[in-house]
Amino acid sequence: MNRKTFWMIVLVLLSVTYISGCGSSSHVTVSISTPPPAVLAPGGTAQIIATITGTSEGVNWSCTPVGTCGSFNPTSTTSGMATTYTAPTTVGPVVITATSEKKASATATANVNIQVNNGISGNFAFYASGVDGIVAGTPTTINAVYSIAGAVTILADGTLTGEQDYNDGNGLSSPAIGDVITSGNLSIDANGFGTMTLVTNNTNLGASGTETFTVNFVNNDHALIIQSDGVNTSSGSMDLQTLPSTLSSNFAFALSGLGNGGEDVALGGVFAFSGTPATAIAGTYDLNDAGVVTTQLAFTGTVGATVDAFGRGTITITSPGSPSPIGTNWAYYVIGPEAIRIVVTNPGAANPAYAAVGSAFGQGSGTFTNTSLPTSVFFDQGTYAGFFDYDAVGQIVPNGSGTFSGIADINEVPPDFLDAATISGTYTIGATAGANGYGSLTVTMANGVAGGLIDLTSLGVYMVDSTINVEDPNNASGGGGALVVDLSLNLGGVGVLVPQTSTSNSDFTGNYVVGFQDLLPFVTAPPVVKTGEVDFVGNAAVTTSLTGSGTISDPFGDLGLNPSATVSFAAPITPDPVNTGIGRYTIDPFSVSNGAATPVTITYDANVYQASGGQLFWIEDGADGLTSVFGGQLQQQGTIGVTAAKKKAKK
Amino acid sequence: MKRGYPELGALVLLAFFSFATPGYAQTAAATTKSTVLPKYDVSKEVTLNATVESAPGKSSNPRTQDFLVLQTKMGSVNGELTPYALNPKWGISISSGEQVKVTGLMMTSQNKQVFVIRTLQAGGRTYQLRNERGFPLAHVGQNSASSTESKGGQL
Repeated sequence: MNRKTFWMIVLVLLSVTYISGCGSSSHVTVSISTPPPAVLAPGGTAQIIATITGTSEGVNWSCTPVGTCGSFNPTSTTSGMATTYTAPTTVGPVVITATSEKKASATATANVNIQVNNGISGNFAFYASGVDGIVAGTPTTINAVYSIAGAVTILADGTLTGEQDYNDGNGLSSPAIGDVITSGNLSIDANGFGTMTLVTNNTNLGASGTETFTVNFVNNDHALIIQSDGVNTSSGSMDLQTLPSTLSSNFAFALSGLGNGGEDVALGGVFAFSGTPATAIAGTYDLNDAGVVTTQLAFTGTVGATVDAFGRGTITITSPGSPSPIGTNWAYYVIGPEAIRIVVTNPGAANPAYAAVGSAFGQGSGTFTNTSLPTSVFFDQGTYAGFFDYDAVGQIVPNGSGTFSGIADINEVPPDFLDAATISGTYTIGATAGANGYGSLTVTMANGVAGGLIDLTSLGVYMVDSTINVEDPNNASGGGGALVVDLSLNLGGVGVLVPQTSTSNSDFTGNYVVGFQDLLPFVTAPPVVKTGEVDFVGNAAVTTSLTGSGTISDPFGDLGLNPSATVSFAAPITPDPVNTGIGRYTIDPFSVSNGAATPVTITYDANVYQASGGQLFWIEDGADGLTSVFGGQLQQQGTIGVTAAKKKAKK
Repeated sequence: MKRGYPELGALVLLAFFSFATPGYAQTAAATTKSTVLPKYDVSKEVTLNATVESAPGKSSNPRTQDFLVLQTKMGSVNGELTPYALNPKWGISISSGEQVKVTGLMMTSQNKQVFVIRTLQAGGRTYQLRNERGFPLAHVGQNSASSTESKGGQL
């Protein structure tokens, strides 16, 4: 053997050794380089890719729980090759495993949760107010203004149970323990839009006990809702609950509905819980009882010892006057330690009876003074009350020492409206013991003339904690401001005052959940064919226009869309060219149409005020000639589903 | 309106109140009420004795343009009820040809003269449809026993 032959033999041996080494399983690794999404809908599909090293052989795909975890096509793939995973039709957690064909111990796993509704589930409190029908019909007939609040536990498969309190003060009410929501379902699409059905044990409500709401989630914790079952129509919201929560210290509150005589009422003020857990409340409130305004009334209440699994508690009110002008029996539903929904109940179904609903929010530990009122957008809306219906919205710029200026819109019926009126007036925010953050605001001048914003002359102002977003209580941003009650002679309603943090046009962009409550006290001509109330919720893309779709609830056939209809719209958004820099826009025309062969089209005009890019308010412009008044919100939509939840968890 | 109103002008003068307030969009200074007056001024109410010419049916939406058409000494008048007045469960019961006494105010709504009814007496009962501020009352049936005298004139 010469030297050349020797080295060739060595080279061959080394090569054989190398090749055999490659075929060994000692260094095989498997990873899932393209995992499935954390959440998939039942029957949903996802592409999954495994990357394998140390062998040219592939992986086998499997999952648990075996038999109910879905399927793969193909069941084996090589490195970098995708398999299509199809989720099972049942909900629940699934573990997906890629196992090396070469080395069984080389595996990689990924978790996927099979859920409906983009993974939105949990405990939610809801509330709404509007007008109910007395019978199920097409269309139904107006009965009364009603109030509803409740809570539901939504499971991963969308089914739900819960309880609620309903009261229209006119024959329809829940028993003292509330109605049981025995079953139901939430079904929403990728935009967070869908329906929530509540099957109650009270067959007098809704359609033989079943209530249907159209919902649109703004984020995982918050949705705007309307009741849309052809019997009732109303607007409200639904918010994730933190349970249990301990209520303590000072709260601001505002309620609206019907008084003891069936008249329109609005009231609000401040109160403090005492005891741990709370056993009593005491506070001060203002009352607008169908134009009869009384301020600085005292009241107390006894807090029930039990808060149940749905976050429902009770408060028995004691107030001067018989019957109590603030109601006697309150039920509340906890959203969190500083946010509750309140509904005045009528468990005996006695008539006439008080019926109202609203919110109470914590005030924090600070002391409020005139300097506490920030530059804000106010929104004030009446309940259905014939020719006293109205909506108002505007910007308030306080000077910190008791006077303010601003720009505001109001739309009243019979037709009387002001667009972008210059307003000014006075305000005071109290810091006295027992009435911290209790205040008022008086409009003394509008468009250079002494007097109110048409009929809006006075608001009760009740300050809230700067960390509480009054329209989305779980939202960490947009906090502060106040609840307000209209204390004007000819108006009666409630609203909010939200800090204005951005007036930039560039912030008013993206996807929004939009809603309004439209009161139609007069018939003019088609498309308004009857009178009553309709409510709308949907989603829209905002650029230089507002484009989207949603549902209008029309149980009384006011717009010819009975009982409800899907409508679409594409409307131009124009920043106010005169009052620049205040975050005011016109949406003119705002035409919604059901797209039928013979379409029903309602051509509104609307004006918008921006508190921030995430929170805007709008009212109908009386210039559209429809003799109706609508008011509502535009809330910027976050990511719906588990992605948003993960982002939130990282904070 | 189904008929003319030859004497309506006089009725309006007696009512001494007009609710006509045209809408107006503004971006600059414009007229605004210097003082806020009540939308419904109870001190200017009148009471009408009338025969019901036609009544909206209970089965219909009570908030349609179906007025309670009243025949008075001064002609035909459109009576404005409330959202709740004809509630089939709780509302009033009234039919054509019936003698009624209504208390309220003549107002202009949608360019039409309407008589906004606060109380209605029919069949020996008095129904209070609105409070003295003019706000509609949901509990029409429950308020039927009450009787409120007009503070204004009677026709």
